[in-house]
Amino acid sequence: MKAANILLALVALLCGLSSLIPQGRELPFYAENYPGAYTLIYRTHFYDVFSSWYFVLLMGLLCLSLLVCAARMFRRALRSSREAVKQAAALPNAEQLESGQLEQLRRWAAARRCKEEQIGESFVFHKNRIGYWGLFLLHVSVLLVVFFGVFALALPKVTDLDCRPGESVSLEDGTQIAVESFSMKNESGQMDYASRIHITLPDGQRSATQEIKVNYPMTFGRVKVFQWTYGVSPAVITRSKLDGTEDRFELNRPAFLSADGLSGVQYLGTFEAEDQDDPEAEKTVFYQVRLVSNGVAMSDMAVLPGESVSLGDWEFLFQDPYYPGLRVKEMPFPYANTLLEAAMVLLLLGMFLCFYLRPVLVRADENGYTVAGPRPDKTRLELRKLLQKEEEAK
Amino acid sequence: MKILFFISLGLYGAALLLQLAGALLKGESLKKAAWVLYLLGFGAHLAYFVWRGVVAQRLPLSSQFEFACGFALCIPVVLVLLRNRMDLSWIAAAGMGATVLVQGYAAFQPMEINALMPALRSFWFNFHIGAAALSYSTFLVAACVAGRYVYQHRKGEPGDSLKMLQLEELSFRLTALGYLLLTVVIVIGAVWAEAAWSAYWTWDPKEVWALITWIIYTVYFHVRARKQKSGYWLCWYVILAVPAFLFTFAGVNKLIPGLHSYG
Ligand code: HEM
Repeated sequence: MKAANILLALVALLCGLSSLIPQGRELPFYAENYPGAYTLIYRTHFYDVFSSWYFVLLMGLLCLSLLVCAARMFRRALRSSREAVKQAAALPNAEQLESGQLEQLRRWAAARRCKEEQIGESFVFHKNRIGYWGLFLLHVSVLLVVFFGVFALALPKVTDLDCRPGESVSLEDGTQIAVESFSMKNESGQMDYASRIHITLPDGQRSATQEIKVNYPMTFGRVKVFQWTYGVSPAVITRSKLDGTEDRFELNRPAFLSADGLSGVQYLGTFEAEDQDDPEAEKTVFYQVRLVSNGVAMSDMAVLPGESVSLGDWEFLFQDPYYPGLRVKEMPFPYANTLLEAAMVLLLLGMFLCFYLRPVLVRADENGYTVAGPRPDKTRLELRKLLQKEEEAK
Repeated sequence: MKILFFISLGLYGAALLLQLAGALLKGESLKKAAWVLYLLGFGAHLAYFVWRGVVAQRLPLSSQFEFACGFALCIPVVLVLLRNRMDLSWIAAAGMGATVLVQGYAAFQPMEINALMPALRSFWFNFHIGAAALSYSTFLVAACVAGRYVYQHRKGEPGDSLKMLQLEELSFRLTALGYLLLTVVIVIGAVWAEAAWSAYWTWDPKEVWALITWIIYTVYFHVRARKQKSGYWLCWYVILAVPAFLFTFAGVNKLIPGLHSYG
């Protein structure tokens, strides 16, 4: 355990040192900001401590130590849960009992729902046998958390994609991800990025649709899709009133949208308007356009996304310019995260057993008693207090 | 309603002064009055916290101010729960002092109520941050108990007296509760990070410092389990660990930019 403490202290020390400079940036960042210490930072891999060989080595040693300890704890837990009561019965008395105090101890044990067993001359009061497994569970689950954690961080393939509503992208394995719609605000006007996503698995058979938001990704098969960011890409759909034909144009720069080169809509740009009452609020985007008829500018106007402008035989539908940036995480196999999450639950359970379900094991006879078992401080203190009070009362 | 916050701070401060006066003059009635004032301060504090929650329509624990206010609120919660089980007069002054310090720190933070940004609007928010506030306050009360042990030790009380053993055991049990809660914070934080940032662990400074705090307390449990160090040593350890979680709470936000720097 001493070695474990040293290893743990070293991990904490490296973690602390890593906070001295930002981690994981491009090397030129360090050359620019820490010119005096750059060589040292570079040589010692101090720009990314957590991927350095010495940190990995330290974690490896810690895991090894955990493995050895967990194996020892397993054996001890197995032995204790089978034999602790029998072994306790053979212990000599550590404290004296006055006449009548055994009865008092028995009442104390009954109040704590301890079982009582008589083995030879001894009475053994015990409970929480499951607690013997606490230390093992705690240590083995730390190991599992590190193990599955490394997999959860290293194995998934993460890709960031831009996908406009109505479009779709294919991943390497053939999975199709389509964005049906994207919105930046919820019904109450609060900023809340949400995309409606449709995923089709490579077999082309199974598919699902779900709305994703920040914090609420969609998991389907091996794929997890996150609402990651958003982009702005102005676009317009032109529709002929005569035959209904539609065309979509990306508005990357000012353009003149016209069928005959004389009449049409001149797109001047996309701008943002601030809310006068609430300068903190998200700005509203609008299209600035100029209507032109037979080569003569008629009027300038601001058009909000979703609105349309009609001119002659044509209708111009200005599109919502926002589109979602998605993060796609391809897991090595379905439910890969569940293993890590189960290990974390085990860790909490092991800790709970260690701290709150410790085995209670008290051996007593007419003359005295002894408190056995791992870390029996609480029981010992309770009994000392109880019996001392009794004596004082007498 | 801000006034309620300052009233609670004033009442906590007055309670601390009365408690100290009671200790110096050995006046039991002064100490009783101090406890009553402290409870009144807690009442005002709780009312302010609930009001803020109702206005913000969420658990008010998102900015430095709100978190410090929630952290300070948990200290009397722990003290009141302990007082139901045992005579608390011996750590009341330290507990009140801790409350004044944390609440006082909150008073210097920007107090406006902001809408939660999308990354914070999550089911996990309440559990992750609520557990952190409870964990820190439990660690702090554990350090107060340990402080009392050290004080008694200096006054010559033997380490194997029932009172000293109980003090050490209490500081251990409080530390264990804080540690379990800190583990809950880290575990929930990881699960939340996976949903929000797509990775369980990003070595963000807040994560790193939570891990450092966790390791510092892990070493404490190892040392205590070996039974080779005295209660005096262990109590000093619990006291000296306080800056670790205080840095995780405030220092990281103020000094190191990262994903957790929301407010
Ligand atoms: C990050 C890793 C670790 C964590 C979180 C951890 C946590 C703990 C905790 C909380 C306890 C105290 C339980 C209690 O008081 O009831 C404990 C006890 C113990 N740990 Fe660890 N530990 C870690 C690593 C290790 C390693 C690597 C070893 C191996 C040498 C080890 C060996 C022990 C032993 C022998 C005990 C006490 C046994 C006893 O009560 O006699 N631990 N550990």
